[in-house]
Amino acid sequence: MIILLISIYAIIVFAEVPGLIKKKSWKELTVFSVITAVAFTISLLHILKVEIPDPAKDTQYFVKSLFPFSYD
Amino acid sequence: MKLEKGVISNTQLMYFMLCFLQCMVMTVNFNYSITEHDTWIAVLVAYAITILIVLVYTQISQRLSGKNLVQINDVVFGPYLGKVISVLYIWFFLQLIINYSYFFNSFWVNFIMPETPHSVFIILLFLISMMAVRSGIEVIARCSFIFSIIVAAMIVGVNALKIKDMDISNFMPILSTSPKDFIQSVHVMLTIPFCDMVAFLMIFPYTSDNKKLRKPALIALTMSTLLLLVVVLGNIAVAGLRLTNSTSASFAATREIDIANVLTRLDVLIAISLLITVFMKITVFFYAIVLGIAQILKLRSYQPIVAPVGALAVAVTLNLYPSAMEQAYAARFVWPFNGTIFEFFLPIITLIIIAIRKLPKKRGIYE
Repeated sequence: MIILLISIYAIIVFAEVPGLIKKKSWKELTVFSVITAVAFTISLLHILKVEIPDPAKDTQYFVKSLFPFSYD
Repeated sequence: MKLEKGVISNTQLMYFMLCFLQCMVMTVNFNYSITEHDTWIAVLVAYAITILIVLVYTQISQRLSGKNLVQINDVVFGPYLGKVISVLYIWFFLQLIINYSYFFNSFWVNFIMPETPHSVFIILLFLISMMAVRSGIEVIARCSFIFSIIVAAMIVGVNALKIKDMDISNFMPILSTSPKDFIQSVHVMLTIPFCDMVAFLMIFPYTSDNKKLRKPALIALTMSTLLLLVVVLGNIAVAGLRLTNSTSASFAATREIDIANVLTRLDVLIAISLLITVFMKITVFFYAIVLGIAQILKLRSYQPIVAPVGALAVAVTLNLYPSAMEQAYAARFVWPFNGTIFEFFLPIITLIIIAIRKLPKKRGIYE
C-alpha cells in the first residue's frame, strides 16, 4: 500500500517538476512542493491508520458554533 | 498576466450552469428526512429566494466586469482584507469539493459496488476532473452542453416510467410539518444545492458578454428547478412516507419500475446522472480553487498546481466522515450555517460596499 502511494506521488512529481525547472518558474515549484508535501503526509497517515483531525469537518462545526441558534 | 485565456459564449454559460445545478436532484435527498412529503413546497420557496441571491451575484459581476472573485475581493475590501476573504473562499470551495466527493463515493460504495475499496471511485473521479481542469474553461463548458441534455433526458424519461406507480394520496396532508422544520428544510435547500453557484463568480468574467449575465443565470436556475420539481413530485408520489427509509430516494423509487419484466433495474440511470452531475460540480469548484490560488500567489499559470490540489482533496476526503449517516447529519444541522456566511453574507456585504463606494471608479489611481 505504501509503495503504491509513493509511486502515485512519484508519477505526479515526475510529470510536473521537469517542466517547471526547465521554465525556471521557482514560485510555482514552491507552491507545488508545499501542497504535494501536505497531501502526501495526510495520505500516509491515513494508510498507517493514525487518527488525525479532519480540518474540513472541524471548520464546519466551528462555524456552526458561531451562530446563536441551531436546529438541534 | 491573464491566467485563463479561454472565452465562453453566454449560451454556453447557460448550459454550464444548468449542468452544474442539476446535481440538486441528488442532494435533495437530505431534505426528505426533514420535510418528508412537503419537500416540493420547500423547493418552490427556495427557488423564489434564490432568484434574489442570483441577482446579487450577477450584479456584483456586472458592476466589476472582467474581474473574478479574487480580484473583486481585492478591489472591494482592499489588498489585505481582500486576500484574507479570498483565502477563506478557497477554503470553502475545498470543503465543498471534499463533501461532494464523499457524497459521490458513499453512494457508489453503498448502492452499487459494496466490495470495492473507498479510494477507487474518488481517485478515478479526480483523475478525470484534473484532466478537464487542465484543459481549461472552454473544454468544460463545451462538454457541459451534452452532459446537461443527457441528464435532463434521463431524469424526465425515468420519471415518465414511474407514472404507473404514482399515488396522489401520498401528498396528503399538505403542510403538516412544523414551521421550524420547514425553515430548516428551506435553509438546507438554499445552501446545499442552490446557492453554491457562488463559485460561478470565478467563471462569469470569462464569458463573451460580461454585461448580460442575468438571463443565462436565471434560465439555468429555472430549468434546473423544473427538473428538481419533476423528481421531487415523482419520488413523493411513488414512495410516500417510505421516502425517509433510503439515503437516496430517487434510487429507491426508480428500483420499483417494472414494465412487463423488460424495463427493470433502471436505477443505474440515476447512478449515471449522479456521476455526470457530481463530476461537473467538482470540476467547477476545482477550477475555482486552482485559479484562485494562482491568482492570490500571482503564479504564471494554474496548470502545475492542479495535480497537488487533487491529491490533497483525495487525501482529505478519505478520512472525512466515518459513515454516510454522519454526512447526512452534517448536511442537515451543520453545513447550512457554514454556507450562509459565504453564500449570502459575504456577497451581500460586497454588493453594499460596491454601492457605497460607487465602484468601479474611473481609470486612474485606483486601477
